[in-house]
Amino acid sequence: MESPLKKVDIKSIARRVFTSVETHGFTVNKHVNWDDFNWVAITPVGSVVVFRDRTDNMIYAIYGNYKGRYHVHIPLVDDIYTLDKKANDVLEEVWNCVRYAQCYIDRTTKEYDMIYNINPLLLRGFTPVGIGQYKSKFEKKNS
Amino acid sequence: MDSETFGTKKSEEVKKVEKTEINTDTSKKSISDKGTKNNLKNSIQEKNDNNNTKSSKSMNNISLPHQNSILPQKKDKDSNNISLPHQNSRLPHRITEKNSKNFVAVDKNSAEVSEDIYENVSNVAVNFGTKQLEKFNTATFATNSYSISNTSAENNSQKDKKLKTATENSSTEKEKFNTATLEKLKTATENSSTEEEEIEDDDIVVKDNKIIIQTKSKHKFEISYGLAWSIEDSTRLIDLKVPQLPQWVFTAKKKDEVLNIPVVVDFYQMEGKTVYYIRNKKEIVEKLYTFRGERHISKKLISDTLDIWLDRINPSKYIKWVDVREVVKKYKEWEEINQDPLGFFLSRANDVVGNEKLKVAVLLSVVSSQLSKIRRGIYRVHLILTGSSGSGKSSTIKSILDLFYDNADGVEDFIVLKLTRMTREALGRLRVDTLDGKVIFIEQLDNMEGVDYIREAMSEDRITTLTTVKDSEGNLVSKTVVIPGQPAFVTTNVTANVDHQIINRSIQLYLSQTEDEKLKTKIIETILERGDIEEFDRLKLITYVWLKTRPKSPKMTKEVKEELVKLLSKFINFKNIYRATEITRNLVRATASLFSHEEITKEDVDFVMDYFKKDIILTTLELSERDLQLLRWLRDHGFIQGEKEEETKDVTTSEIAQVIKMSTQETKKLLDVLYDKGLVWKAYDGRRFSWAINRYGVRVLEELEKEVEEGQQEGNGGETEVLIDDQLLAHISSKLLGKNQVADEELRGILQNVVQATDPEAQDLFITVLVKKGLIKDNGDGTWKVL
Repeated sequence: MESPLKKVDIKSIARRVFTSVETHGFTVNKHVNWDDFNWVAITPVGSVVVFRDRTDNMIYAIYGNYKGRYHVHIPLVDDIYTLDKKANDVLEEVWNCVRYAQCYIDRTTKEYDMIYNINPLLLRGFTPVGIGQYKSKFEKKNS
Repeated sequence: MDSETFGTKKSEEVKKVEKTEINTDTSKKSISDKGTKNNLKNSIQEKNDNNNTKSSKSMNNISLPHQNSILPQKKDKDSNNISLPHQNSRLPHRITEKNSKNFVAVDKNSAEVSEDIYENVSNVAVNFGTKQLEKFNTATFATNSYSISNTSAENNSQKDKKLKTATENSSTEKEKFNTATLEKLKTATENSSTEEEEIEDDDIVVKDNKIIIQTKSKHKFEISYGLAWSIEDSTRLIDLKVPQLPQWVFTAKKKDEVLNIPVVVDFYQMEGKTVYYIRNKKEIVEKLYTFRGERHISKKLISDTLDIWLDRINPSKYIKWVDVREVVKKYKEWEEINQDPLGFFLSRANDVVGNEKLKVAVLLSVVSSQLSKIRRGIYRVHLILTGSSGSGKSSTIKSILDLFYDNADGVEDFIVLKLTRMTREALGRLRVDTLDGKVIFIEQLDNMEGVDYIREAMSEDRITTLTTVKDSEGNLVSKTVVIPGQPAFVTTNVTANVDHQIINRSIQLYLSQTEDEKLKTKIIETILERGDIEEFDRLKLITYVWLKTRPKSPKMTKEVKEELVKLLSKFINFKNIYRATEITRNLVRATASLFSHEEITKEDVDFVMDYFKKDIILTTLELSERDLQLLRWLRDHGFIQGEKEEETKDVTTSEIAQVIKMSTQETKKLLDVLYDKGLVWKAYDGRRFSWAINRYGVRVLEELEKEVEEGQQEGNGGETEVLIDDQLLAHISSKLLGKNQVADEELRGILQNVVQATDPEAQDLFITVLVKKGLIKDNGDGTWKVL
């Protein structure tokens, strides 16, 4: 049987192994084993900070409650672990960003391929062929 | 006392009357003028005072201040002292009223005498002096009206003597009258305002226990009065006190007929002043008018008489206030309601079966209406009950609200204002001092026009309306109508088409048609058994006192605050979190007040969470339970938006309508609201709409279910409680991802890294937690299966 003391211990462990870090105007909780490479993705649905676990090199995306214009500089990794669903949404949004050519993938970097957002001003006059923000199922069915 | 005494008295009376005439003369010019009217009143009072002093000089036993009239027995004795044997009549209450009078009993003869006098003065048309004569006559008449017809011969002889004196006096008076008349006529012609003067010529004499009305044409009407008893006006509950209103009995007599009218003096407060009035005055005037027997006495005159009488008796000293708390303490229900308030209400609301949660919500709403104001925002519990027609929304609400005073009960400080219809501007112009302490129950919010006002009244602490009105000169000017206070709203609706601002200010509860067969049978039985409306009066008084004695402002303790912050911070990313926080706070305050807690306790929070956790979460999402059911149905039947359009399995509006037992139109409205909130996907093929839950909808549903289930788990017992941080758990599970099974050693290694659990005991503890959370399962061979 668990003693009440041990329950408290578990909580205190959680408090001990996670520390909060502030970056780009918002705060997220970070495990002590994680390294911070200043990888951040801010999107209109929320933001994530990406860390790498130094024990096994796993990449974690941690959700932060901050919404804004695209500001993306995160690594492009096959397995990026999220600890809650909201972080998934943000990553999905980053993919949308890439799909709609508002972000691009930089394959020239040393360790990981990186995703960066494009300055929206540079997007003027650029129309991606076949896809676009006007593509909507509803509109299509109605027309 | 012999007849001589009466004679002396009579002459004294005449002198006195003469004296008064001078007073009246000065005040006669215009009775319509207020000031003059007062003069008249004063003169009458003065007259009465004179009367009193004079008679007390001459005969101490006779003069009794009118206050004594409340002691009939004592007066009876006094009346004996006056030695008017015939006055010891069979009607004691009337004797008490007449005994203080100085007048002499004339009895049968009086009618003839008065006729004689009438004949003598009949030539004098508009005559101030007539009035005087009238007064004299009245004196005679007055006694007549009180005397019993079976008078002794001795009395007759007394009266004859008196009559002589009277006639002598009247003859001297007559001369005076003629001169007065001439003057008077002159003035009348000059002013040519005959009507006013006719009124002026009427004379009203209010004496202790007697009112005499005389017209210019010497017709008179006499009413005697006496204080009967006082009545408690339970409809006038103000600050837990009820006024005891004095009740007089007016007695008028004519020939063999006697008219008794109870007259209750009531009052109201206006601009800090207390204004006294006679209840049912119109009716009383009507009765007296019908009874008067003299056609020259107008209704207006009788009405004026009553006003003067009211002024004379000084009603303020008769009105007392009784504390209702003392009254209800005697009732056995009082103890019950204090011991177990919830049980008290639920047991009395059992004519509607089930729906306990809704009943509790309504009760909390009522209790919240009494809470003291908070600096800003919503400080009441507003409720919206949604459900299909006939599901028992109104009945459920009424089962609780019927236990409180409502506007139909005629109680001044009513609790519940029941409305079935409201016009657009009505709420802004409600005639109440304050909306605090009131519960407004609106049936079918969908039909309401003044919804804008409701929204304002729900979150503001006053309703302010700026309107234009016409002033006395006909110019349009702005006027601000302010009704302070915030009422608690309880309302029902069928469709989902309620202003979302109203929804996010209130808790929306959904009442579905019951599916339980047993319960259905019981409901049918109860509907059939429902009897007549019981006598709720006593119950309502108890609930009123109980409600008014609740703690007005339960204090928020640190412990409770932490508890609430912990609960609410989970939903911090939800859209409507601030409103939800307000609503939760109001619910908790109301609960504490319900259970008489001066400080909010953890039990109060638990109580609220037990009943309303789900609804609070739904409020943060601006959803109702019906929306939730709809979303769940879509998800469980696989109507989910796919990655690609072709993958989406959708369902038409009419199919959904069939499932939720609502009309297609209403279902469409409901789904449109969900679409606006981004929870469902819709498509239109040119003929009909089809729907599916989208990914966001699924996610919201999952989060909600997780929360509610967690709550249920917590409720199941403390042992299963897992106090592990979600993030930490997710981190551990991320390390197990992609593995089918993990060796014990490896698992402990992971735990060592992730949670820094170097101690095997601590590692065991974490393993137990992971098993409980369903992440791993013991294979029994030193390995763990990853689930």
